Amino acid sequence: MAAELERLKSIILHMASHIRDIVSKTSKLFKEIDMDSRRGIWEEIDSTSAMLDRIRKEFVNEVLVFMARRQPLGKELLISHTLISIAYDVYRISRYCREIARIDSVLAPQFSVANIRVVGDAFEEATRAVERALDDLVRLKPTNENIVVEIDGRVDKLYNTLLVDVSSRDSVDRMTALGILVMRHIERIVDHANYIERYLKDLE
Amino acid sequence: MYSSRRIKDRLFIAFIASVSILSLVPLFHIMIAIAVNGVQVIAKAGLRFFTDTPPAPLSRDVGGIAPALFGSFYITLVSLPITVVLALLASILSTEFPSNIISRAVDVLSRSLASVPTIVVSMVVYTTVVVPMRGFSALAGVIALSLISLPYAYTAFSTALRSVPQIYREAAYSIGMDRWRTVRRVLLPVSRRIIVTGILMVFARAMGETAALLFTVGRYRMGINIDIRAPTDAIPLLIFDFITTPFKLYQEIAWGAALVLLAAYLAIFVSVKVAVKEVRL
Amino acid sequence: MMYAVEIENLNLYIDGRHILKNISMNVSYNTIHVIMGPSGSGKTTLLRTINRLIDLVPNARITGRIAVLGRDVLSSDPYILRRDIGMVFQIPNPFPHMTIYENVAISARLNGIARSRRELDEVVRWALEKAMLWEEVRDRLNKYPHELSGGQKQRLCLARALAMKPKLLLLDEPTANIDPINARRLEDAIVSLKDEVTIIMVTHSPHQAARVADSVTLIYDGYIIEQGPAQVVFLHPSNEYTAKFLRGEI
Repeated sequence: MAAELERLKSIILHMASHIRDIVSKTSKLFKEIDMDSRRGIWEEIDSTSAMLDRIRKEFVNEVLVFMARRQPLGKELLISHTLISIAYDVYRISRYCREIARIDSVLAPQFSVANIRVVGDAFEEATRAVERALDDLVRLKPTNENIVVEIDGRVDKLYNTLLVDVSSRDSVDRMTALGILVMRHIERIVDHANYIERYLKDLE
Repeated sequence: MYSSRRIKDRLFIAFIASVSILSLVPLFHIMIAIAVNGVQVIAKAGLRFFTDTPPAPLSRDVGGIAPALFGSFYITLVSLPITVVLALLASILSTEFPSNIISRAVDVLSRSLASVPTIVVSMVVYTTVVVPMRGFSALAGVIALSLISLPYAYTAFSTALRSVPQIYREAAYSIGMDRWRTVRRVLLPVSRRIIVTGILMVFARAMGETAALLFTVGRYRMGINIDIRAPTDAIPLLIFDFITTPFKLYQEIAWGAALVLLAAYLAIFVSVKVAVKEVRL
Repeated sequence: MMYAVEIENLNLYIDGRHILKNISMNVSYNTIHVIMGPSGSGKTTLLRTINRLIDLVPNARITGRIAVLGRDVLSSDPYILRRDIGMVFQIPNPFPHMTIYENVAISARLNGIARSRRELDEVVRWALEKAMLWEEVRDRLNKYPHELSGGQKQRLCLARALAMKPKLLLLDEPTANIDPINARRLEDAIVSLKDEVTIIMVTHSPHQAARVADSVTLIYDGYIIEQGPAQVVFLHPSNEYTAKFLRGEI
């Protein structure tokens, strides 16, 4: 049983490495770069996240087959559940990156998400949170839980500030409107990183 | 294809079959001899073989074995219940309380009694019953037969009770039956076929007992005595006495008596096998 | 009478050998409590101590306290005690000389549950329905148990135990000698009985325990290793032996 679980864990770690890749590519969009690079990044994010979706579906199936065959109890049962949950969180992170890329492509060629204030820093925070969560995933231990929770708090505050600002005005400009959308996606990414930590904590 | 294995297999089966048939040959020989010789006599005598007393040695009449026939059944049927009840009680007690001192004593006694020669039992009964009574009697025969049959019946019944799988006793206890109900409603019924077979064997042995009756029943052949304190006759005794005489008539009567005994055996065995239903576990 | 069964510091010695070591266990009313463990760990012995069937083993010595439905077991008359405790054994043992009907009826009649023919008919039907056997035997109640399959025999034994309306039901690896489909049917029947009776079941299969148990006790080598609510023990075992047992390694 242990060998099969190791194999399943290695698949999710493989998914995790793709996420690191997607997140770092998305962060590039928040810096001033040329159109060709941006276009290239959109395509890569698109195809990688589609692939991750396929991997996730197959992975969940494999975990279910493992559970049906080996009928794990105790820790092995909890791990099986954790693997399925985390696979979903990992996939969602890639989706939100894809959404941010979509906003960037819509703003092109005149503007980019790099032009929106505040979101660049927010995404840096998100990148850090995701990295920490994925490090913990490798170890299967929520060592960085506190850090991720902190980041989650900060990003939530930023998002809230933006919301308050927008609701205080009758009309907003283009950048602010799209900015709040991007902020929402960033807030969700950090949330999912937080969920990963929480599932890892339940394993103990 | 005839490999050597197949040939060996066939040879072995043939060997076993022939040895089995061989071992049955004496039995069939006896039965056929009795049948052939006995039928002639009974045919000559007709139904009176069962109602008349034995004739004078040189008479033309075949006569009959009525006293011996009556006597055999009389003594056996009186001693049978005594034996069965005592043996059944003893075996139930020793099965229920195997480590009790009385059970162990009964076991030892039974084995000892079984190893005493039947003629010795006969002599003992002579001294203790016939002499004080100043005469032979059916009662003495009954006592002798009971003594001889007891150990055998006790062993048979003990085996029967012990052959009931423990799981049925546990089941009985688990639905709240106490010890005695368990014996009555479960152990005895489940082993009924073996017990009845045991009773049959006791009956058969008793009918065929010769030495036990030598010094006890008195060989009274003149008529039929219903009183248990009076002497009577038994078929094996009659056969023993008559076959050793020089008179041909008496020897023929002996064969006839043997056939009657055999027929009685067969009738009893077959009817009980049919009547008692097997308990399939 | 807070618990249906209370066991406190129970020690059992057979021929001087220490078989059950300081067992303490409580079973709540109307629950299924499973005693699980590897073969030879003492679970069957523990079960048989509860209804004093251990008396059939010579040279058995017991110390400690067992209370069933408020009554002290070790000082009670075992024959009277067993009237409130039903048992189903590892090897199906319906009485072979009684018909299917009589097997169930005798249990009811003996314990005063039913007397008249009509009452007996009702109880027999009820018990067979609860044991999920009624449909299969309703038109052959006067046949003998040897005609039934192993799984059906076992359900008949369950019906027989139920017919005396016991408050406690002891099941000793009831599915050990039955095919898997009948085993599941028997498990379903057992689970459906929870409202009417308290059940203690012995098994060596952690998965069977997981399927039916409300609470469990794990016994290994005569010791209690771990016990508690099923949810806790099966998801968060606190002892390494328990984890090993759940993985099937012991």
